[in-house]
Amino acid sequence: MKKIFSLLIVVLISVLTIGCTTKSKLYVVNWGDYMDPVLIKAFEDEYGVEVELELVDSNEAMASRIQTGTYDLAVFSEYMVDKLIDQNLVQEINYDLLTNETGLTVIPKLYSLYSDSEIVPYIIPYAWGTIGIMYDNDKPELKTLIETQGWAALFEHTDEYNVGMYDSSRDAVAAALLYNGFNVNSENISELAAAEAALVNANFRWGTDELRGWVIEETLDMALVYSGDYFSEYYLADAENITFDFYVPETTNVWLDSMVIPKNAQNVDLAHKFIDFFMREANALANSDYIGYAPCYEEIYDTMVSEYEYDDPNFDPYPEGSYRQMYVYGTDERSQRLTAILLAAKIND
Amino acid sequence: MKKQSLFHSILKVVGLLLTISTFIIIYLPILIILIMSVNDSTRGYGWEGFTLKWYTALIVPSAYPEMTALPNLLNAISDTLLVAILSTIIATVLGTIFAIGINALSRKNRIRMVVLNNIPIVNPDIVTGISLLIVFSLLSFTLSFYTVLIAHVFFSIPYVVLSVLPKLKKLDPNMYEASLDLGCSRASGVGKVIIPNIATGILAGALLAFTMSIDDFVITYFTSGDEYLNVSTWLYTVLKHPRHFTPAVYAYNVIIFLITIIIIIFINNVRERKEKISHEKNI
Amino acid sequence: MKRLHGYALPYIVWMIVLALIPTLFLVVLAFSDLALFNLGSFSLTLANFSIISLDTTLKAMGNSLKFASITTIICFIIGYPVALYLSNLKEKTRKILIALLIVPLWSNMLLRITAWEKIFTPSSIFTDIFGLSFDLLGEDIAIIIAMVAMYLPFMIFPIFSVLEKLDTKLIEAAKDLGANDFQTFFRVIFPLSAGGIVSGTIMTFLPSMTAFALPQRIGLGSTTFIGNIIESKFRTEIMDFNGISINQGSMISLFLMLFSITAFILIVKFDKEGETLI
Repeated sequence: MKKIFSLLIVVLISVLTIGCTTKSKLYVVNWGDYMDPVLIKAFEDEYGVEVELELVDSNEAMASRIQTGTYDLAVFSEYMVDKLIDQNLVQEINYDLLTNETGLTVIPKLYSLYSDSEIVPYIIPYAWGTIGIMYDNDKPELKTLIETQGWAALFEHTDEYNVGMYDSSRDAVAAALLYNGFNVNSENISELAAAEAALVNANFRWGTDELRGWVIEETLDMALVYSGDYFSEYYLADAENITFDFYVPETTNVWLDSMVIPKNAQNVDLAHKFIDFFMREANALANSDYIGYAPCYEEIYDTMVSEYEYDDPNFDPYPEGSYRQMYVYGTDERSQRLTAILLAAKIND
Repeated sequence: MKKQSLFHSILKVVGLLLTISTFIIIYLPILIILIMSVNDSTRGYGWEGFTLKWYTALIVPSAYPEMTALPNLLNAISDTLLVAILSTIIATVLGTIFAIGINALSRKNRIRMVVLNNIPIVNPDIVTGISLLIVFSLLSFTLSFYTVLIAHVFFSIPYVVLSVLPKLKKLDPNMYEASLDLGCSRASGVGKVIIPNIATGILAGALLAFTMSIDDFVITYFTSGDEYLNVSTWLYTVLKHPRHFTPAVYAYNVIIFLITIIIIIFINNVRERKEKISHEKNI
Repeated sequence: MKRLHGYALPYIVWMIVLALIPTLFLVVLAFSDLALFNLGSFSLTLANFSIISLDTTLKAMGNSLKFASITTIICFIIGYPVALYLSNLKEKTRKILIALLIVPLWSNMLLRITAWEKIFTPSSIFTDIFGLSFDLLGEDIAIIIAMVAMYLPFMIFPIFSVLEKLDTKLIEAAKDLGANDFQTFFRVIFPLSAGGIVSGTIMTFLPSMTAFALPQRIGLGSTTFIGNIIESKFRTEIMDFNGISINQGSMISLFLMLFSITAFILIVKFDKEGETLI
């Protein structure tokens, strides 16, 4: 018996220690479907390190992760970075460690959107885009409906069509505010109440990255998606098999996602190397092609359009003559109100 | 007399029909999993032809770039199996010891202990998961592989105890006393007399513990940290983010499924042979 | 063997640490503003109680109870005759069929849920191969079918294990005393299987009431269960920058525990030694 026990203990100890490797690790928290896995692997091989990737669905969830855990890199939207700076949760980027940054220029019309903000020293722009409507183009009347009614098509026809809504408080409420003709950052009580009513009265299906798959599988007729959700599917599908299309209403939001380094990052140096790796022109191109969002740098963007055939007019998140709004964090009360609206809307479907 | 048999035959027909429906409803998803495991489509939106590449991808992952994608399915599989094996070993050893202890109590105390033992079985997983999350943060354990292992041992032990107890009840207590009289120490008496006689119960308990562990989702979800994913939590994450999904998980599931069938057939054969032998002895 | 009762002692300690203390702590969290991930001073408050009376929580609770009740009733209506039918079969067939009922449980639960998703999708692999199309994803009926498929075995097993052990002498005695099949069933067999029915009901009702992945996947996020709210309180929205969500989540969990306590009382009453639980 004793022999068996001691053998067991030896086996246990050896098994438990196998898992430990000496490679240094980079802890990344990111949105799902938002970083080319091949590039991550290439980074691991080149630097002899290991990347741990955790996926989240919302800025709010990501913020909770960097508060309760230690991560070296995260990808946040502009409004949340603002809040994180207030909470002292992020650190400034050390540009001396980024060798590839000098060759790249942020697209001027994008830069003008946030150049006055305090977020500039904390962020490396990653991708930008809008929210829009992805729909099943097998139904010609649906196409007409969406193109004539814009946001109203999403909210007023949930009885005839299966409609998907993004399970994220900011985006769902923003769409409802836009539908009512209000600003996406409205703090007005009655305007938010109108948005809540619109979300509650409509009968939505809720999802995040899976929405586009549901449109392709025809579980949904249309859904609110991010621009890249559509483009990544579009460039992945067989040309003759594309049964879906994308529509961006004239007034919508524009958002900017950026790489940031949390304050309590353990491996700041490696985090910079990771950022730098994704700023190499070839890598940046490959990554943008994978995620389907518009790159933030002129040089990359131009190559995408000219050589990768991303010439769809909707690929530009901010075309001439369109009207775009950018989220701001606002008050904590407003954030809680948005969460409550989302919950009420989901529960009443 | 006619009336009785009518009731009987109605019961029989209804029972048969419902049994058939039960098997259909339970095996339909298994069939889909089997089909998806040989479907030549990464996204799984439809049938795109037969392939075995998801099985080969599990065996030679280096040839398939999607197998190295993060969060990594292969890591999730090895973590799942590692936790399942370790927690089964630990829970079986501890559960057997505890069951022997519980069996030695007075009837009243034994029932009390069984009630205590049943807490994790009856409690909804979500409550167990949250409770464990609370203990771990009270003890300031970082959520990791080890917290998951403790959690799995925790919810597995009760099943081992429940499997072993009935076998212990059938055991003649005089045998153990005799072994002590013959010079065995308490512990060696347990090892030489009790354990061999309750072996089938221990094996059943271990099998249950392994099943519970390998398939657990909710408790792992609440007690695992950022690094640890098992197949279930991996799936829950990638279902929301479909481009991280790989159909190799269907292949993994089919393989596990086949292994279980083999194990069950094997155990049944052994049992039948044993019964035959004891039957022949009785003659 | 009696002198081995010391072997049970560590188990008591183990259960106190991992089952009793967290339950007590759950009460503290529910009735205070203590921050779980940042333990420090705290004050007792009833503020978290408001989450229970919130319209959304009540509706989610209502959903959970509704779907769990329907699922349990269907599982019972199907499960009892099946258990009865199986228990009357020849030993060999019976063993094989029971084994065949267990085998699918070894397939990952979430993967089985995914398979149901494929079945209920209007154009998927299921349509391609079987030519059948059920556009049910997101509908209540889809959630109920998937739940019944998921939990039906847990209704069948306990009832079966009671029926299998039923003393045939009792049935013969009833018949000898002049009872017909109908009377024998309702006066003898059914009452004697009460323990199995109670266990089966609990093993079906509690998991379906607290499910959160299944309604989320099959319901396309449009049917919120109480489990979904707990999940978001403990996992996704932990930091609304004032961190009270865990306390609110604890309050809801405490509320759920009322159901498990009821279950315990029933189990202790009907099946003291927990023999129908596995």
